[in-house]
Amino acid sequence: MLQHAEELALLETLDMGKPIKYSQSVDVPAAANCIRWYGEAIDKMYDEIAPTAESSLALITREPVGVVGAIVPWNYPLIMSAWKIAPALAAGNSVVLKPSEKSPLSALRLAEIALEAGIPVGVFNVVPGYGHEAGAALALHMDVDCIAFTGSTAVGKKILQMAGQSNLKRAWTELGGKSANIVCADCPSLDAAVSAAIGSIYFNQGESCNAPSRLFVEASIKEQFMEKALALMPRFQPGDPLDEATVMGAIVDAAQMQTVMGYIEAGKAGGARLRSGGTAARVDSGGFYIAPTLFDQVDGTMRIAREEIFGPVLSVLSFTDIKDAVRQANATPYGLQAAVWTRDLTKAIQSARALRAGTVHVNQYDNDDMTVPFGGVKQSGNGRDKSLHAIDKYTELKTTWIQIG
Amino acid sequence: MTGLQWHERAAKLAIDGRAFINGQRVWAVSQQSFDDYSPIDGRLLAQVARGDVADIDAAVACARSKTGAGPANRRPRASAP
Repeated sequence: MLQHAEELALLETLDMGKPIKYSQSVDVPAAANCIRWYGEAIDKMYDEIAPTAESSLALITREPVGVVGAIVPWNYPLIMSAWKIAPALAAGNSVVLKPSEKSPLSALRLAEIALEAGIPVGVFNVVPGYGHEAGAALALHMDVDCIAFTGSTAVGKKILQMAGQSNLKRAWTELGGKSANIVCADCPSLDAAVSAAIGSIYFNQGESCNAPSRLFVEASIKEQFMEKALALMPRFQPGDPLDEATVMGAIVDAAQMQTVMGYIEAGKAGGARLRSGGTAARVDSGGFYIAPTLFDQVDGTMRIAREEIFGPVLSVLSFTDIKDAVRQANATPYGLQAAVWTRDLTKAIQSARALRAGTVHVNQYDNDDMTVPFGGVKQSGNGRDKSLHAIDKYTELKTTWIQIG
Repeated sequence: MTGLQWHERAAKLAIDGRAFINGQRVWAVSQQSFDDYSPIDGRLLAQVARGDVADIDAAVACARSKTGAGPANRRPRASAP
């Protein structure tokens, strides 16, 4: 992958519109690192002997589930593929990967590169196609032992149904989010909080399941926060994704563009105050671009505060009581990520415990590492990608009970 | 690389939209494909194989034939210290 890094980065940018700057510096190296990490990890994992009576020896061993089907989305095509195939292959499974029809090219190339790199023939297969055709065939297949899916909550529900109506294959889902980012007046650095809030919502054109799309700012610092936030907006104007200076690229396709513009209209109609963006950009390019959009004076009942937009749209709410902010943060069917910014250790820990999310960030939003699990609670899915815990999804425990004497 | 150089590379890039099953590039059994456009500027990138039940069946059968019994974390016998 590293030998073919430029080609993979180019395919990623051309296919789904993200800036080449990030395809090169984030997507390709992160995907390659994931594959290396699981390859290195698997022979450090030991099995167990249960503490049974003296007359027996009970071995607990891990076995591959067998055939793993993986269905991945278009927002991080290589990274999402790597998060599924790396632990699945390392644990000894064979894989059939179905990339999104909106961004199939890098996964197809990855399969060729994997073969060159020594993955045995036939162990890693890639079948592009539509969700209702190839995806459904994989999720319903009677000889697939496990289906691992990243995508929308609506499709995640279908994946679980299909697993249940076919062979009860293990079904793991990493789904949508409406992650809350809570900034208290006593945050350690207002500049850092502003920079993370703005940088994280507009990264990848806002097309991230864990984008902090609901920003709660304590009322006493709200205007100061907004002033700093609005000053950053020019940096995030969309540009040509093949220009290395561009930090915000194209929306994946016309349908997604329409969805996001629909949410922007809903925000305006619902009474939120549009303070930046709200319009299409680079309209003569032939592509799909949206200016970084920021709504202020949003309340929790508005559609833009409740539904996952998957675009460069930030909703700003305010609070006076941290407990109320946490209650509002939890008032969603989703539970992928959340953040709290405060220098008060007690408040930070109490909030982190109370927030119902797979990951809670404290005084940062972007830190990341292969060693930590990624996934959600509630309707953000089940199971975890990344870390050694992902191996659990692609293995079964076997007990071998041996009588002694 | 400049934006111009990336555009030049993109124009020369050979893109293969066929599926990858059993170590080989193949079109869909149905011979159906779909157009893959770039959201950057609307350019057509490739014809991509439109996989369906028949292709998934072939890929799963291939994958199944490569699975075997045994632990998930075994090492090659000749593994050096």
